[in-house]
Amino acid sequence: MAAYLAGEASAFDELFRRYALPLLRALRRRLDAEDAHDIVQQTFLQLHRCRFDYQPGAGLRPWIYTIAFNLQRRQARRWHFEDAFLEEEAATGGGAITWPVDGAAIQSVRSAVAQLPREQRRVIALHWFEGLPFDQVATTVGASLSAVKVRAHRGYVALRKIFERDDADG
Amino acid sequence: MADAGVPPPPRLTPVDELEKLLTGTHERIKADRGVLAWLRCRPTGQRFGLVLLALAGLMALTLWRFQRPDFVTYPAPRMALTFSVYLVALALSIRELVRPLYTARGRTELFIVLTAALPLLVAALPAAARFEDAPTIGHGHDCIPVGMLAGFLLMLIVRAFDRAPRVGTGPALLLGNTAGLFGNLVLMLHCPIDRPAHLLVTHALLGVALSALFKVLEPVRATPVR
Repeated sequence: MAAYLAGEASAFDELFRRYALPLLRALRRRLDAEDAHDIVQQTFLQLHRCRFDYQPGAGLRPWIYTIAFNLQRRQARRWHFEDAFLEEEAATGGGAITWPVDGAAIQSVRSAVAQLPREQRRVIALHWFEGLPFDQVATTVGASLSAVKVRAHRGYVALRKIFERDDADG
Repeated sequence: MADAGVPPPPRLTPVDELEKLLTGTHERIKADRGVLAWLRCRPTGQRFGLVLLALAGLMALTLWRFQRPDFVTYPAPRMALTFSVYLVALALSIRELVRPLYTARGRTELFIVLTAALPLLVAALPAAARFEDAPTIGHGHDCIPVGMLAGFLLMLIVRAFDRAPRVGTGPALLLGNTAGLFGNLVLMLHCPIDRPAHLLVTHALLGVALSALFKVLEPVRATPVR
């Protein structure tokens, strides 16, 4: 982003290639191609408009996700982007973690995460699946660092209980 | 059957799809030019400051050309207090309205309540003691058009600086109420009628009228940038 601000036009293309694909995949889970393309392009148009707000060193991923969340909300979609994002991450194994497990295990994780309350689900999607540090998760969801840590802790405790229950059920 | 020999269009690979999207994004950025685009690309602090500056200009114009006839004799502490409270609420709401999209959701609902409640609260206060006969004073009859015009100008100014392509229900309500609050502020400088009934029925309802007006006009403005 600093290179783009310095006038290096190709830096924008690099940003786009880095961040657009996971966004597009998540959007395509709930939208037709045209609408998904529209939101991806709107997100990067907004990123261009916001460029002079950027502080060097700040994480760009939270910016992009939050812009997409807000565009989706303003366009009054009846679904929640973070859910689609979570599904995409769980299904493809994208993001920061690798998945040394088979499809059934991924499905089981997805199903367990889906049982969590929305706020916990969102924090876990960003922290665990996407690998954002807690301070960037806090920026993205608009909560304090301690609130985000509490939500994540409660979410992981709840997940453990769900897995233990599932194991006990056989 | 006529199409049987026609091969289906080639399916785009994710990489091709991404490159096509990138080209489309470049086209959008290229089309995003002109004065409005320049305003929307200003840093958020500047956009906020410029909106406030424009509103200060409108208030100065009201004081200069459309001042209420009893302005000099109106109880100054009451005017100053009401004006200050309105100004703070206005600044907070405008800050929320021009909030950049990369920040998480703000306190839209709180500001909707604040901007709706303040004019009602002020209207419910007893009239300033010396002016209970105020309806007979000067040009009170034109307060609704003046308040509506002031509010409408605020909506135009804020939308000129707002980067978002569409306004959701919450921000639309906040915009209408904030415009109504600004209309009330301008009317404090313009309208000499100080009776609670007048304030409740006309001034305090500006926010409702302006929200409805915005609802009618917004779909025209909100065509996505393609």
